[in-house]
Amino acid sequence: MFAEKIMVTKLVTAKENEPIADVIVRMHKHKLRMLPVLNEKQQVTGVISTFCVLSHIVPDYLISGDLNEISFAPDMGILRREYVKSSSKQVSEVMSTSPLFVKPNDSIISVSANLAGHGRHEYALVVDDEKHLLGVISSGDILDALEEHASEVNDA
Amino acid sequence: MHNAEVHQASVIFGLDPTWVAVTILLIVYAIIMAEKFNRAVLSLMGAGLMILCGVITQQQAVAGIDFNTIGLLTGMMVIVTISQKTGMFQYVAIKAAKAVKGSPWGILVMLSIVTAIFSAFLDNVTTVLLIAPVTLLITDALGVRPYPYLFAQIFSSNIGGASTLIGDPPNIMIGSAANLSFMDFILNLAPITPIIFLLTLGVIWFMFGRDLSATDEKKALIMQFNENEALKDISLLKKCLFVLATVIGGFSVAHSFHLEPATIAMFGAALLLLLQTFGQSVHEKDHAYEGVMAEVEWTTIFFFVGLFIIVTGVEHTGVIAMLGQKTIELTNGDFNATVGAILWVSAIASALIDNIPFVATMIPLVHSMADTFGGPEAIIPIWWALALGACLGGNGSLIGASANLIVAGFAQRAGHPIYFLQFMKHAFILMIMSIGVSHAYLYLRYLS
Repeated sequence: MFAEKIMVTKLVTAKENEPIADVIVRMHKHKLRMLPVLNEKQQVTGVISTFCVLSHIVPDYLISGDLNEISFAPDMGILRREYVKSSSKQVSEVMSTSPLFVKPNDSIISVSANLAGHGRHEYALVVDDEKHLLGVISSGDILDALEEHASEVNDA
Repeated sequence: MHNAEVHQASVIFGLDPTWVAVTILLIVYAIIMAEKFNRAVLSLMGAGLMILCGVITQQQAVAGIDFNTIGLLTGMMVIVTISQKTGMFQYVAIKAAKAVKGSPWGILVMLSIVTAIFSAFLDNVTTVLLIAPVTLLITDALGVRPYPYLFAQIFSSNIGGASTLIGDPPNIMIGSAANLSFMDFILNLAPITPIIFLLTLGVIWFMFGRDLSATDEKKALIMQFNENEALKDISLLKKCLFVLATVIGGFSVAHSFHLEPATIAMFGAALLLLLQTFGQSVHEKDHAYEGVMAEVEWTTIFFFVGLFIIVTGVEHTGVIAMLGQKTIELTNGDFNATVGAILWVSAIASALIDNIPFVATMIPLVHSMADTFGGPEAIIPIWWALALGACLGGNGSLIGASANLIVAGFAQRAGHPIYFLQFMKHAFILMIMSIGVSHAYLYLRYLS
């Protein structure tokens, strides 16, 4: 079975120069946690996710040192302040620029291994050679395919 | 004597060993200063070249490695790696901030004291790595700019580190090379460092402290920090405090029992590793040991190994002893002037270059002066001058010490970058003041 068979092609995307606030509204509306980011030539340049935004608003000095737990600190309004600051930033400043790209003719076992092996990717972006977005495959899409097309998966 | 050995050794292409050795040293130091390559890799390359070019044999190279320094560093790194997981650094920092009821200047003083004390007994880099993020969190809560706090922290860590044998790598090297004990350092350096610390805080008050203010609401926020939450593992904390107390106690009496500090530190490290995992399964124990070993800064250890070999190579050619004699000639054999010269040259050099290679090179140079001034006992004030110059000189610029760069890294990530020249404008004057005070102290206590 190939990636293009199970990928979702009804796509919601974000533009590089959009404000974060608009993207958060769109993700909420479509109940999505991640949107592929496209440039002016409709090529994929990254992904913006709720996780990207949260990582961006948590001050870096809290997570980059050896200070792994800060249960001793009260809520000080830092996050709200940073959230407001981030809302007006452009998508390109916050997005992750290293998404997992796969080809339409990649096998499902290869896509699954990539998703499982990298740990930090929940989605694979199916793109052509010019990085144009063809579809998205989530780990859930693969599980659904295993359930629905049991016979075909065995053949692949 | 060394010269004779070298001329027997076969230097490649029949080159002059002095020039080969000095060229290797200068090139390695220059590339280390450029900071484009890892310093451990460079020093090991240089060490390898010393042997490959035939300046020294492998046996001579290995004999030149000061295993007392290596053992003390490694042992303390193991102890610190385990201790930092207990949250005791954060606990003390928050407790200190709350003790002054959230007053902005009070917090600056308290965090500086905490940093100085931790740096005196543990590694400076680890200390700032743990205190700087808490400082940023506190200044964020107070709504004050973090620069004065981080500036004071850099000075505190280097001044604290200068106070004891184990506070800063230059002191470890000097103590080992000159056979000076933990108590020698306490009795000779710890009387002056608190004075320098207080004077530095006084100047920082004039520079930044008097402008610091915070609303009562913000101060109340500081009081909401709960330091008890920072302590994650009380049983491990007890074990760490027990081993730290044992090790520091051991350092203070080691000399009377003819024990080297490395023995104490290594024993303490092994004891803490054992206690840390007491009662766990063999598999869990192995996992914990490997975790600690992986966090020991092996790059620093190998950097020292390589440096010791490079310096041994140069020392064998006799060129360092020659430089020592030149220094004495320059000061007309005047002991007071020599002590002063070592102090000031060490301070300026350490502000601009890594003080570890500098001190490694200075140690044989100072050793070579012993004959002129009447033996190893007579030159002890020169060792104190070297220690004060190298440790306090690190305050002179942002690149003067590793801890400075760590603090600058945090400042950058918190969105308040510390700029090289802006820092130097304030820091260099303060550093010169601290060296001036050290000079007066050395003069009054040992010279005159």
